[in-house]
Amino acid sequence: MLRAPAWSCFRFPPRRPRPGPALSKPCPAAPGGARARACAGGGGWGRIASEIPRRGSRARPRPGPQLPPGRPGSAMIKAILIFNNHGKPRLSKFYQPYSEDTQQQIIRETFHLVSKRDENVCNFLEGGLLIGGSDNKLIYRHYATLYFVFCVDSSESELGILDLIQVFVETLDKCFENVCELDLIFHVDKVHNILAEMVMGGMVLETNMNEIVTQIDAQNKLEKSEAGLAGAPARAVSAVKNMNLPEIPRNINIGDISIKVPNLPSFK
Amino acid sequence: MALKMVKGSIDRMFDKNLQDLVRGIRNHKEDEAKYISQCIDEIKQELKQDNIAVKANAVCKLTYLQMLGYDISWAAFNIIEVMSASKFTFKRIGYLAASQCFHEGTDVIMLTTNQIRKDLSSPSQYDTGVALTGLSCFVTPDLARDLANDIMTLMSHTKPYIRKKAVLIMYKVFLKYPESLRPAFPRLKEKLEDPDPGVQSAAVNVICELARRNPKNYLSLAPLFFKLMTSSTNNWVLIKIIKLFGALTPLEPRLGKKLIEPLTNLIHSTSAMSLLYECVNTVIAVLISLSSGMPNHSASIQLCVQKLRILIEDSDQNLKYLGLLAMSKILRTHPKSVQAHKDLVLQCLDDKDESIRLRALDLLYGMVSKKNLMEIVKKLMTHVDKAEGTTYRDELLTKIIDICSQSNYQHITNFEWYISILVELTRLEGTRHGHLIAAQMLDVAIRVKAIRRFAVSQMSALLDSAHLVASSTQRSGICEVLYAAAWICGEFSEHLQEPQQTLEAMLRPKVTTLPGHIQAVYVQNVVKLYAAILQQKEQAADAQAAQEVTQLLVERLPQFVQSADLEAQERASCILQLVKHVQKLQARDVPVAEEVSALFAGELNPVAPKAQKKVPVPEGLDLDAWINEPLSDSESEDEKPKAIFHDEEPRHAKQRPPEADEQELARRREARKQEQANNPFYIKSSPSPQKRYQDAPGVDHIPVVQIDLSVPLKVPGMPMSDQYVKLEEERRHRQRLEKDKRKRKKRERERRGARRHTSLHTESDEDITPAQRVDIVTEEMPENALPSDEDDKDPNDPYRALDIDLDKPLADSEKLPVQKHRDTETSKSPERQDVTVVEKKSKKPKKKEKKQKEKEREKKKKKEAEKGVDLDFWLSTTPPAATPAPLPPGFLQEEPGVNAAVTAPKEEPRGEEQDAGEDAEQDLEKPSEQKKKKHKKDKGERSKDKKRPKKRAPPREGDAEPVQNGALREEPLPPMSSYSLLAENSYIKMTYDVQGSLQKDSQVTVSMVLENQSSSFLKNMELNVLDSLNARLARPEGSSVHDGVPVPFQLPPGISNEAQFVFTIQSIVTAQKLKGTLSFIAKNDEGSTHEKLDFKLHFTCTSYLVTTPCYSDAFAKLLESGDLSMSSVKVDGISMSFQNLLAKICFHHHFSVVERVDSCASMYSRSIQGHHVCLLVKKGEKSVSVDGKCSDSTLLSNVLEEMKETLAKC
Repeated sequence: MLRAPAWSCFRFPPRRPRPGPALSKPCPAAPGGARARACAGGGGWGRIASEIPRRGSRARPRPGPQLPPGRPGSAMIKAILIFNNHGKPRLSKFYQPYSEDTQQQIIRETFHLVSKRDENVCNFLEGGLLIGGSDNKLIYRHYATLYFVFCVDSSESELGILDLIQVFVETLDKCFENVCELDLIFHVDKVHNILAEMVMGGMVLETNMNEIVTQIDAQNKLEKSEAGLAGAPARAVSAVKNMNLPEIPRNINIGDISIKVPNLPSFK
Repeated sequence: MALKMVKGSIDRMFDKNLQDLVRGIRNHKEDEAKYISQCIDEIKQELKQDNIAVKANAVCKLTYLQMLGYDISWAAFNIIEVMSASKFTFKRIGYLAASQCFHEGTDVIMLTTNQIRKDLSSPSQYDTGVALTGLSCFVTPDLARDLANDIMTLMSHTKPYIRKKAVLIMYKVFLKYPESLRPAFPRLKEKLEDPDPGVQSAAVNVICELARRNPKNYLSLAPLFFKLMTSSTNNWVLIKIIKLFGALTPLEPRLGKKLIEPLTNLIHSTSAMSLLYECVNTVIAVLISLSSGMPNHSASIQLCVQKLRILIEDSDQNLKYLGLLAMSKILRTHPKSVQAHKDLVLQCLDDKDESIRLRALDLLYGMVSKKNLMEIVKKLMTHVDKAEGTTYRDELLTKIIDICSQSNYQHITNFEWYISILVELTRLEGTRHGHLIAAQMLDVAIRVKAIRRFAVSQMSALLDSAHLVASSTQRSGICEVLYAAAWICGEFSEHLQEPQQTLEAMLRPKVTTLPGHIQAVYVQNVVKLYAAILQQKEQAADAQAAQEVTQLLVERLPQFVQSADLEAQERASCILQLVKHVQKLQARDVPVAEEVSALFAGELNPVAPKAQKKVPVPEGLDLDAWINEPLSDSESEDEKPKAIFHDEEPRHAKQRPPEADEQELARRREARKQEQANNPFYIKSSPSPQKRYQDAPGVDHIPVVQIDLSVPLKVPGMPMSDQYVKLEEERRHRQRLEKDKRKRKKRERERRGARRHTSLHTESDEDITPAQRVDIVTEEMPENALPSDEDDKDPNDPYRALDIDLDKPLADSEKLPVQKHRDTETSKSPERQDVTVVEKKSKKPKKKEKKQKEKEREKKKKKEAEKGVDLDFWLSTTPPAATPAPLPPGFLQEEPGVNAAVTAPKEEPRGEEQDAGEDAEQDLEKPSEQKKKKHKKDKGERSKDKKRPKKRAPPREGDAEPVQNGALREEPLPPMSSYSLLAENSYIKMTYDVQGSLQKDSQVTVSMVLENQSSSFLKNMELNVLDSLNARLARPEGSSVHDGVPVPFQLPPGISNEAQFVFTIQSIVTAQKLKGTLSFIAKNDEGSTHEKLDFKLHFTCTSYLVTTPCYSDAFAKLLESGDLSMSSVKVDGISMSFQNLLAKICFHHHFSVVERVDSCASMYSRSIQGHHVCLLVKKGEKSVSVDGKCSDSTLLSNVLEEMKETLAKC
């Protein structure tokens, strides 16, 4: 659907075409297993990944100097929003303080502005009234069921931000292995963590996908090691839950264990 | 313990996690809100549990709910708890939640300082990383100040992952705490050459962003960036740098000359569109900054325009958009080269993409001429009709007005056409720009005298159909045009055909539904109309009709008297009385018309918006001096209510001044006319249109077009602007014929349009003569107005604070504050801290330092001068043509120079004995290796005492407190110190202060200042305390209850230092005393002796209270809750002012004022174990009574006892 952008100057470090499933085989409308059941609740689950124009598969390589891996972006991003075709927010990150109500208004307004645009118009949009006014711009991309919108100020390199969105989505794809909207729905915290490795306080931190993925993996490993033994039962239960067994009665009281333990100091 | 953990984790399994929550919400589509409120209740339960995992899970869910629009700020404290978890998993959840919902107004944010500091120095890079990421979202000025130094240290972390985050977050720190910029800048600059590309680009990112806001301070970095630009192959970095150069060139044209060559080369060579685009942008900026003298510039411009045309013609909409965007920048300075591509722009105006149409609109601004204005506006008007979104329509509207009004209506040949365009625009529904249209109508009517008759006829028609305008769009701004319409009809009522009819239209009952300020204008202009009618009727000797009009007014005006708007009400009642008076006079057959119209005599002239500001202050007038000495107690005057009419149209200013006496007015007017006549720049306005025609015989030559022919005398209903287009064509045709004829006859009459303010006509424009003889009055400015361009600066611009000269060497006062021990007794006194802050602001370099540094400074000056030369040198050398220039060695040397200059002042020995004034600086840190060394030394010392870090924790609260309490103080207060004497002998003096912190519910910190009063060297100091059941000294692990705690420093003669000891307290409701001993070795020339000093530590109940701010509503709730016990005390014989009294209570007893009314105040504090203590302090003649409420009665009575003692001393 989306053309491989001809203007893009940004390249990944050389890599072989990915043998991932998203590339090699067409995506089924709904994947099997637990996820499929979960999907039944509504909301789209089209593969975002299938919509990503692959850089690896881009026809002609560009002449020019080889780029080093570190790629900084530009400075002031006001907000990053992800919502689906119906305007349901999937992620919202504001780098300027707004009240919750205003945030919702901004999301609604942005959705309203973005959703009525045709597929083949430009990806830039003068900012809405709520967020920043004339100095700001909305730069967005539409993948399958999701809109990725960055609200940036006038000092940004527009094409650079477009590329950044691309990097973001590809990173999501890598971290979730074939990402779809449901991944974003159920793991919004993880998406936040990935985003935090790319954009910090409204400024672009890192744009090299491999570097981002490395850091995310390391953090996940750390998390797993911390959970250790205690985490195992929780993981088991969550797996059971994901199988959608009939609701297990909560509030099981295990005996009357009420040994008074001194308060753990909360500020350590 | 283990059991508890197992139980916790089993419990946790069945708690809802985030996925369950999401699933639940999706399964409850119909009653989502209900389901979520149920979930929030569950979350509240979970937050009450001790298990941190449960809490983290709850906070994680809250973060999700926040995204759905639920306010979660109530859980701020729990979020902080989760942030402080030891596990990374939970910490990350906490920081994420904090970054999503904390902002500067979050009051608990001040509790995070120490936690964040701890995380920043954590051995795990991910703990640090997650803290930095979180902090970047919610950094406040306080956090920035307290943590700046820690973050700066991280900029040299071994891990690039941390370095790049630290570098990036510095930008946020600079914004919140501008003082940190200068000390941190050298290191930031170093990072430009960091081996890690990520860090390097982060540094480029930050510096570029800084430079974009205040470019002139970063000019000296140009050579460095030039080097980066020519050496870097990273397109991202290149784009950033090129953007930066775009910001720098306007300040230094020579830089532009140097850049243009490599940039053009890049434009030719690069295949990356984004880089090409940014290069073109910067070349444009360069060209704008250069005067267009050089011949090869037109070539560069041509190149840019050419490349942009390629972009615009591209099928990719993104490129098309950007091409247009860049084109509009060229337009400003080189309109001719853009005008060549008019076809392209007009084509884009029809593009299906709104963004592109908007950009094309911008370009149109420069494309119009007299010839095509009507045509283009006609096209735009059809767009207006077709446009669906209000945003685009509003944009069209403003553009139409912009285009037409640009450079003093330069392109408008027919103002009747313009007025009808404006009237047509009023039919737009739901536009926000009613006031714009109104402003245009007023402007045109006031400044183009010839059009007034027509304008008035149109406006009266508009008033007649006001119901159409107002009713359909009550909420929108379009009714603003009625404001203009009413004013024009009133002011120029002599042109009205049927004033009576208009008057009736303005007095319709419907008018009262209009916004207040419009009603007010209606009322005012009704009277003007009334005056005109009276005049007319009396001249016609129609007393009957005149009385009828008066009667009409008396009947209808009361509806305005009842208006909800104050202004309308006031004017209406004023005028009603006036009219009633007139009625009386009329009844007696007295002619009144003269007098009534005298109210509105005189011409209004447009005044430039900045005129008032530009009036120069006469010599000898000091505006800051008091006229009368202020009264001593003038606190209430500080808060004057905001002007009620503040939001109203500023145009009120144009209303004439109160009736000065007639002669005076006439005299002034005469004087002004004289002045204007002598002023060659003033375009004269003649007193009245009729008169003008008689006065100016030369005017006859100018072809005044036969208006009577083309426009019907009275336009019924709304006009159609389209007809003018046709008419205009005919007119021009006629004119051409006429002109040809005349040309042959007379040549010298060609100077027409000479009265125009500007004369930038194209040749073809010259041929077109305006339809009306246009006399555009320029705006009045006061005589001797000072030209200044500072008017436009916004004082509230947050980036303005960052306008800091970075080349100046660092002064000592500028070092970053660092968390460390309070070295001297005095630093604790809030009084003095306040003073130092003020001092620092008022005069940065202190006299004392000045002397010391004079020499250094001279050196630095030299260096700076050298550096200046370097930059000049660099700029003056032109680079070799094609290849990037290898940099001349000259400017590279600048760097060590700067570094040396920066480090120089640090050599100053750190005097241990300091004036009170310098205490603040004691807390400041030195940003270099120097400091690191010191750190190491400190560490060495500290390693002896493992307890140290714990003890360091609390002082921040202490610092926050004086600020808060200090705000209450307005009159001078005797200096207060919370330190009290502990013990003293010939060797040593001990003073102490006890501080609790809300985070540790059973601990207090005793800060002890030890001052060496002898000439001996004191060392091996050790403190020991006899523990009681209730209070124990926290000792290092492994030591017994009888061991002492070593004091972590030694004292040379005359020096004082402070040590902190932590005590664990069981019950805090009663005061208690602990016996203790300080033992030390005193060493002097004769040898060393072992000495001892006994003391009694007194823990008052007050010392368990922690200043906690409380809002009045929360306070009221607390009092209502009824589970507080009550007690009260009364102290007589107090002479101190109430203000000081409160300050004293705040300071000594750790309370904060909730509310204060006259001589009565409610205060709040909280104990470290969470008891609420509320006070009501009332001051009588000579006595003070204090009523207290507290969750523990013993605590309360003890606190009140202590307070009584304090008060008794007052």
